Parts: sequence; structure tokens; C-alpha cells
Amino acid sequence: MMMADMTAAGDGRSELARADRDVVLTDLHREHYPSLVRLACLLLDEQGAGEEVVQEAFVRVHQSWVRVENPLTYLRATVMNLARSRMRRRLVARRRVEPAVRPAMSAEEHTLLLADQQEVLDAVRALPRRQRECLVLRYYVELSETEIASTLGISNGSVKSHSSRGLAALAQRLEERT
Amino acid sequence: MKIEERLHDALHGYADVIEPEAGSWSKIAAHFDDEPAPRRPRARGRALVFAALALLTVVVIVAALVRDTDHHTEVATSPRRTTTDLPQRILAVTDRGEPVVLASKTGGRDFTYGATSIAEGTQIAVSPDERDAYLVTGNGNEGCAGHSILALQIGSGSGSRVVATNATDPAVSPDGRYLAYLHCSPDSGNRANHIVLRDLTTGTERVTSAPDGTFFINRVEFAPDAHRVIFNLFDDAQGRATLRELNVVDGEAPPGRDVGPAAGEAVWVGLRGNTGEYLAVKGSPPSVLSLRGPAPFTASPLFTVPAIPSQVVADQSGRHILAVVDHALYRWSVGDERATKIADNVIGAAWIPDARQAPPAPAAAAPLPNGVVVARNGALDVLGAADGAQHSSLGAFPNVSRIGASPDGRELIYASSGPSPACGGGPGPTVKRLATARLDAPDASQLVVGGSGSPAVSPDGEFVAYGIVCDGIEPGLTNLHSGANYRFDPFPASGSGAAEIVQTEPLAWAPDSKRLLYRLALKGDAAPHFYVATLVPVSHTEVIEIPVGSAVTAGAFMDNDVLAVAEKTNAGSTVRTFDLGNQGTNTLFALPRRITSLIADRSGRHFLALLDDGALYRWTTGDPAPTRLAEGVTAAAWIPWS
Repeated sequence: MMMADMTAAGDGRSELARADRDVVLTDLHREHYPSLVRLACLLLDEQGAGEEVVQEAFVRVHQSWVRVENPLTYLRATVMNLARSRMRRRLVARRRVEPAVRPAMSAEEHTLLLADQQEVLDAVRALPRRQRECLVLRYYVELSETEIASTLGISNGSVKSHSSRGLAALAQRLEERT
Repeated sequence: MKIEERLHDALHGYADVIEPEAGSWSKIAAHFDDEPAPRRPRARGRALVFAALALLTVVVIVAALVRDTDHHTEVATSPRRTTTDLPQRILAVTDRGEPVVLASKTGGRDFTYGATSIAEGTQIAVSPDERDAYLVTGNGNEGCAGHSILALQIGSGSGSRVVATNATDPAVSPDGRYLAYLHCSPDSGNRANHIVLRDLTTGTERVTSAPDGTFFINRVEFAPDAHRVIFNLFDDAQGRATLRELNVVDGEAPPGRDVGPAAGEAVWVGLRGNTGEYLAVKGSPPSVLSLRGPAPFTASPLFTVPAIPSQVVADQSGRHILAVVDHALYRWSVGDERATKIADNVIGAAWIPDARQAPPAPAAAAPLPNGVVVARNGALDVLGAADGAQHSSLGAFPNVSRIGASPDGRELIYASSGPSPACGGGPGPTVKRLATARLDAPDASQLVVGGSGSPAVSPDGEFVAYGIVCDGIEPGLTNLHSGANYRFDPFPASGSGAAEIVQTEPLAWAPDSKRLLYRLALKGDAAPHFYVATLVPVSHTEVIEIPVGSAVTAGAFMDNDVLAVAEKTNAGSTVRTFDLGNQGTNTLFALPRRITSLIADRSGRHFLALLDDGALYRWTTGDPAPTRLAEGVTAAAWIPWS
């Protein structure tokens, strides 16, 4: 029984047998599918779209297996890219049609979602995309700066700057509301 | 609260309730192409085009939040769901042989016990009630013969030797009742060849021996059912080891059932909590694997470690794992890409579980409430909680079938089964109205207009839960402060989507006012179904079905994680604990008839049990038997004063 090392990097990945690809992807799906969907939902605000994006990401990782060095990082980056792309399409579509009426929260959600959390979420949604992505990866996925940089394909310095600006903007918006 | 903490809470509060649809893997796999796509050369131009596109799309994203309004229906389905949060503490042993308590997140030292010469690489067992740890002391060079087992009280630090010598590898059963350990005979060459099962309540021991002089045992752990143990059996003659399972509690004869992977594939290092999976180590650098049965096992790599670990220990949920490697302690949780080193100079470690399993110890901080209000003979009477003597009466309140009391005990919410209107004024189910009454003033009023019954008031007095009967039968809530009404889907995600509810009955709130225990009767299913819904806060909202069995007739919370359930028996009823985390159970008391209602006070130590013949009993943790308080009672509630 050959085991694939999911955290291995470098040349070792390309030597993994194709059979290992399915094992690793199955395990990644089992362990990370829900958290990836939640990540996509934080960017897209819609569960159905989040699930589609993550499913598509898995298919892309499968197709690109030979050049995937760290499957989880690659998967996460693909989810971010696809979510971004989906958001662009959605923005184009919104220019043509009236936005749908926002469904009312169910009664129990009104009860349960703390008012403070709702305010913070609204403020996060109003942030520029890159700031929002950095904050979600940092405070939801709890990635390090280096990991965020690797996921978004930007420098560590950019991650720092987007994160600190995002936090500052968030604090300001919340203060204005109160 | 700092902005970072608020952001963290808000993101988790929103996202953690999202449970993706099951069966997604088959959808994904259906799109897999067997041939990998040819590698495309990286084009610098592509990156530039992408950057340009990105620039074009730098706009303020004001995306309306399209939230699925059915989040509460999309929650965990696992009937074995346990607390999956990272346990807060670790019991570790330093390379000086000192037991210490470490913070799980940081590895920071919380507490150091006196040096006790704990042997390196030996198993540490922590009782599920967090009170006791069992460690192996002695000289590791002497093997089993040089070892003895020490019990350490985690709270006080006092220790006592529970097995004098020739003993190693302690394990505590998930229900906290048994201690299993390995024992070596004087002629076994310092290798263990017996499994000893000690009943911690009686002190009696039972010995199970390896088949003959060529078999030896290494490492023993209890399976989640608290009856079977898993152990490695070495066959010296064949030079191979097998992973075996043996029901030691029920006296199954050795050598037990072979449940392990084939020899040579991986080294078993422990159970992965109560997931039913095994932890193993294999490869170079060593990978910690999770093995799923039945054989042939499917292996999933979890994380790698720099060298062969001397210990690998999972928490109850199986989601958090500790590994001791070269005197360093590593922690890994599901979702982590790699294990994190959290401490140095560590030679052994175990999780200290956060959820209590055993009934709470008697404590002066939980005095008996002064009073009990009962409905009997068409009136509401206030009785003394100690002796059942009547103190006062609120007068006539006919047909009261259930009572909930406000936190100060001055206001009652009750369901009356008197004449009731039908839903919508036409034919169909009739409404059980809820009404309020004050104990300190002649004031009664109707509370909820609409179908409702079986009120359960949250300990903080904010919500009353009840069963809705109009426009669908499901649990409902009313915020007693704002008057707002709510209802929620009572099933775990997609678990019983097609089931038709015949009756819904909230039973009790947890002391934290976040979890609600309720019972559903389903069409075509004679057995009642019990659920706990975590309703507050949203970040932990989930519904789990409680597998307590069809004989259960009533239930209440002892604390936020432990229920007391009344079960019908041939002799009447037995009340026992049921741990929501590990499903462990202990018997509390018995009564001669069927218990229709079980009511705990806020401390979870005092119970009222109402029998089907109208007799009302009180029982306090530690009492040898319940005390009869009253007769002819149809409903009762604790009040903190009389």
C-alpha cells in the first residue's frame, strides 16, 4: 500500500503514480471539501455557487496533477481563482438585470446570528476584493502570511499591506456604524 | 473585543453552519478525465492579460448576501457526532519525568506537578471526567517488570500508586468505569502477556492472558463502546503481530478477533478517537495514517513527522492528534497542512477531554432549590422541595399538563389541555394554548396565540420552546423579551427529510440556554426519536439525533454535554446519564413505574421525576434512592424559593 505524502513538495509530486492521485484527491475531498465550500461561500455569498466552484476546482486539480506540487494549496488557489472569476461574471450579469430581492433571513437566523457578527460580515463584503480575500484566508482559513501569498500568487508584503488596510477599513466602518 | 476577534467570530459564525450537500464526490469524479492534460508552457503574456483583467474588475463588491434560508436544515448527520473543538489542555510528561499541563494551542505550561519519574514512551490515560490520569512510573530499561501505574488527580496533583509493579500501558474506558492495563509475569522476560481489567467502582480485577508463552501484548486501548479493547498481539514463533479486538468487559475468551491490517503494512499506534478508524505510522519520513476498515484497510495520510513517533494520540473526536517525536510534541488537527511543534522536552502526552462524562461530584455550590410547583387536583400548589409539604396554593388552574418556570421562579408558563380552538378556526388539530401565571401576584395571561404545547423555558429566561401544531408540526420558539416567534427544522441535515412528524415535544434546555432537547414522534414509526439542537450561537448550530434507544420516556440535561434519560424497564424505570460526546452512560436511580417527565434544576444535580400514576419523586446526586414528594401530580417545575 503506497502512501502519498500530501505535504511533500518538489520533484516527488510528479513521480507519484496516477493511482495515488485518486487516493489523495479522495482524501482531500473527505477532509477539506466542506471547509473549501465554506471558503468559497465567504467569497461568493451563495452556497450553491460555492459548491460548484469547489467541485470544478477538484476537476482542475485532477487534470493538472503532474504539475501540482502541493495539492491542498493548489486546490485552495484554484477555488480562489474560480470564485473571483465567478464574481466577475456575476458583476457583468448584474449590469443587465435588476438584482434579485434579497431573501429575508429565516426567523431562527434572525434570532441566532448575533447582530455584531452580521455587522462585521456586511463590512467585510464591502471591502475591496483583495483585502477581503486576505482577511478571509487569514481569519477564517487561518493561513500564515506566506501561505496566503502562495495561495493568491502575491508577495508577502502585499499580503501584509492588504490585510492591514482591510482591518483598518473594517474597524473604521464598524466604528461609523456604532 | 478586538477587531481581529470580531472578524474571526463573524466569518466562522457565517461559514461554519454551511454543510455542503452530500454525494459531491461522485459528481466530481464523473468529470475526471483519465488522461492528465498536457502541461502548457507558462506564458508571461497570460499573466499580463490576467493582471489586466484583474485591474478591470477592481470594483467595489457590494454583493447582496444570498443566504440559504435553510441553513438550519443542513447540519451534521453523524449520529456519533462529538465535540470537535480543540481540547484546551494536554497532560504531558517532560524529559525530567514531570507531569505538566500544557495549553493545547500554544504548548504553554499551565501547571507542573511534582517530579514522579514517569517512564519514557509509556501510555498515559486520562479519565473522561478529566479528574484522574494514569501514568507509568519506573525505569524504562527494566521494561514491564520495572513499571508501576500511578493515579494522578489532575485537579489537586495528589498521586497514588494503583498497581505496584509489573504493569504498564493503562487505558480508561470511555464511560470511566474500567481501567485496563498490561501486566507481565515474572517469567515473561519483561514483556506483557496479560490484560488486566479493573472495575474502578468496585476495585475488582479480571485477567485475560495471551494464549501461551510465545504470545505477548503491546499497547491496549478501549474501543468507543467501553467493552472491547484493541491491542497488538505478537506471535514470537511466527515473528508477526496482529491487531486484535476482545470484549474483556463481557469476558470474551482470548485471543479475540483479528481486526488489523496485514502484517508489515503499517505500525498501529492507536485508535482515532471514536471514529472507528485506526492510527498507524509508515514510511520515511514517517507519515501518520488513518486506517479505515474493514480489511483490506483504506489508508489516508494525515501528516508527516520528522522521525518515528514514540506516541500518537487522538482526542475523542479523532480530529486532533498529538505526536511525540524525539522529545518534541506535535499537534495536528483536521484541516492543518502539517503538524505544528508546540513543545520541546516532552516524552509523553495525552489529551485532557473537555467534556465531562460522569455525573458531577457533590458540591456545596448546588443547594437544593427551595420549592417545587405542581399541578394537581385542578390547582397549582407550591411544595417544599425537601419534604413535599405544601407551602401555598395559587388557586384553580385546571388541566395543566406542563409547567416551565422563569429563572427567578416567579413566573410560570404552562400548557393547559382545556377547551382549545382548532387551527385556523376550522376542522383539524386543536391548539394547546400557553399561558403565564405569576406566583407572587394574581395575574394570568395568554402567552402564545397559535398551536403550541409542552413549554420548556430556557434557564436564562429568554426563550420558551414548545410544539407547534398549526401549519406543520415542528418545534417552535418564542422570545419572551421581544415576543417574536420562530420555528426550525428539527431534523439533522437530510437525515429524515421524508419523515412526517406526528408530535413534537421539547423536553429541556441545557444550562447554557443554547441546546434544546426534544422528542419527535414520526408517522409509521412506533419508536420516539430524540434530538438535541444547538440553537445559539449560530456558529455552532446543529441538530444531532441522540441514540438513546426506544425505551427512553423522558430526559433532561445534567450539564451542557450530559443528559439524564429515563428508560422504561421491566421493573419500572431507570434513570441514567448519557454523554453527548462519547455516549458513555452511568445509572443514577430507579423508580417502580414509567417516568413521564424528568425535570432537572439549573445545577443538573437535583431531579424531579413524575410517574405515570401521578407520583412525584425528587432525587439528588449522591442520594441512595429518590424521595417521594407528592401524588396526583400532572406537571411540576423547580422554583428557587418557596
